[in-house]
Amino acid sequence: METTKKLIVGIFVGACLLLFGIGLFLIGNNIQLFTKSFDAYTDFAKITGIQNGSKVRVAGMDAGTVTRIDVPARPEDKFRVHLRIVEKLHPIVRQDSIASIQTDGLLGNKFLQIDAGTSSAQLAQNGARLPSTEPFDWGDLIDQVNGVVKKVNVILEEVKAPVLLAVAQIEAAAHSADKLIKHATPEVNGILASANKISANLNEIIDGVQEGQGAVGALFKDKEMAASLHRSVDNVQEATVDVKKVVKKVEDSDIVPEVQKAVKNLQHITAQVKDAVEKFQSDAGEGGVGENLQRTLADAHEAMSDLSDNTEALKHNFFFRGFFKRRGFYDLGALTAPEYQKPSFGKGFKKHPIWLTTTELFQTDAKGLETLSPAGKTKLDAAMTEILQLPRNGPLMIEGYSGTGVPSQQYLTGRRRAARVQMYLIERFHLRPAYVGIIALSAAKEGVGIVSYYK
Amino acid sequence: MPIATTQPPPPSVLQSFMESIAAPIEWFGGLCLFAAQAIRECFQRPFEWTEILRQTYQIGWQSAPLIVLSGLAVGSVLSMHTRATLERFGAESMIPTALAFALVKETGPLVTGLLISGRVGAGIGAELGGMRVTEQIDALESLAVNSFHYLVATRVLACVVALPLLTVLMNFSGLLGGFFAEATISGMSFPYYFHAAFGSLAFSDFIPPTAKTMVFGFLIGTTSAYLGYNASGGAEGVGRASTQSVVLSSIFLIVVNVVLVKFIAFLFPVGGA
Repeated sequence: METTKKLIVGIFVGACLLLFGIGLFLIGNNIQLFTKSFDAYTDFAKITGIQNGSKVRVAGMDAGTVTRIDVPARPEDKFRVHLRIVEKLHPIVRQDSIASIQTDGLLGNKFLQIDAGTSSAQLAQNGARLPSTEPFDWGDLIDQVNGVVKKVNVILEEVKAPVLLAVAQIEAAAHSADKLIKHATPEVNGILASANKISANLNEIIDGVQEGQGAVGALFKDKEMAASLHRSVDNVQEATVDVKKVVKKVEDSDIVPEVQKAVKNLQHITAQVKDAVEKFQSDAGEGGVGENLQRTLADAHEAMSDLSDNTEALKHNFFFRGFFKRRGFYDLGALTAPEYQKPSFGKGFKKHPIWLTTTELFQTDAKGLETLSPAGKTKLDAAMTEILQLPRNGPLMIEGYSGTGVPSQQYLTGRRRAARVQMYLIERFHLRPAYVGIIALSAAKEGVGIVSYYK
Repeated sequence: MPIATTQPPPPSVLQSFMESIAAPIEWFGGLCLFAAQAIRECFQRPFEWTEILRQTYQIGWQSAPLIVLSGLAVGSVLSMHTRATLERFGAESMIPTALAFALVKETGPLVTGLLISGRVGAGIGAELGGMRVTEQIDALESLAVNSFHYLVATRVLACVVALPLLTVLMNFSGLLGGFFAEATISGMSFPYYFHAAFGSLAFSDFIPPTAKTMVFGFLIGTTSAYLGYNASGGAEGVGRASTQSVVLSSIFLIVVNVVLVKFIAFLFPVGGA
């Protein structure tokens, strides 16, 4: 064989071996086999695809490989992943650098990512343990979502019954409200009719006054006042004093514009009450029944407030106050405890008191509130049977007593007890509300006093 | 008076079937014994260095142009196909990596083996077949020359040595062809291309597939030499031996490759095969 052929074979084999060596070097360089490096390790509960030879990146830069994975001896232990990291990246690998398992792209291989640490932390020494975060796993996420869905289902099952009950209660409440509205409509109509009647009566009174007729007292069913007026007129006539002056005096007095103003207000009120009632009766109101009801109540409240002011003014007027004085009270609702306890209250009336204790009248419900017990209602019925034997020409006062707590508490408790009894008596015996008053009184006793005033 | 003649009875169907099965099994058994003898002869003195070098020159060096040209072409084609696929996912930057994996792990060794089985297998079968039918082998034997050691062992050894070298050549020329194609299309730089190509390769991706081509070389050398060494029937027998050398060595190579791939995956589970 010629030397040339031997040379060629030598070159061929040498060249191929050289290429093979280059390949080995490139691969070895890629896995940092020939560079100075340091070792570290980290622990994971799941290694999700990391294996020996997997890449390690420090802050995104290729920095080494996974050299070994120790399988845990017990289920509660973690996999220990040993790493080799190039020395040139050592300065940014600190004790607080966190290792995590990442995916190279969407479908790429898994690799170990180590974040750059902070300057305040010390360098991770050779063989140091790096903290880790568990890898994100879609399976875990789906498991968690499943768990949440199951919990939600359980909660829904638990809540379902109370919600249905609440809905049923709301429905029942709406039904009751509807019934209440329908029930209240005739009463409101009644109020309207009464207001019309009041208006007509007042018109009639004013007409009489403007005409200077002497039947004013009779018109008001106040014989004393009528007689007084008769006597005055007779005196005037008899004294042949200038009748015109008297008439003029009456006409010039402040009563006429005042009454006219009151009538005007009443007409206005009547119109408002009518509108309110009409809206109240209509289910297809602009804002629905609730809004109409609210608006109507507001209007009615305003109207009744005006009416109250006007009638209150009238009651204190010269022509009317005699009636109220003889009745013994102007307004039981505005009566205070000191006014009630004055000797002047109920002057000229006889009193018939009946005392009932709290124990006899009330029971305490689950919320701690006092309500009339069946036995208490029986007692009240018996008491009223006794009172109804008396003439009904004076007020009926319900005195609520409480001696428990501070004065404000005593007042509230007493008033509440009296109110319970008042409501029951008015509803049960159809009493005139204006004649049934309540008053809260402090005392060292607990109970309710029913005092009937009569002549 | 007619004379009674005694003729052998015709073979039964079963007998014919058994003979048809026995023939290939017998042939395969002969091949295995031939291969075992080849292995034994390769390690027996005297080592025929001159003949080994001559065969290496013929099998290795003279095949180099074919391998380099084929590698460039295969690399270019693979690069273009890989680009067409990865482009859909916006992963053009992974072309060198994918190409390197494909070439180094499988395409390079297999294509090299098939090319060499075609070029060298046919040559060995024809050369030894010619020597057999022209009684040159018998002449060597009459001169007390161990013809098997001299003719067969040297060729098998040369194939075993040359195949890995040619595979390395195929891999690099394939990567180079891929780079040319990629540089033409996308203007990718040479450092980036080779850094990316070898960036994801591990030793287990490079060494075992290259080493397995020694088995390919042994298969090509043994099969071709067996067919040529046992050729008969004159020029027709030589031609048959040459053709069968290419066909059978290629088939053996592809089938054995399946086993080797699995074997490498078993030995190197991280990198796989």
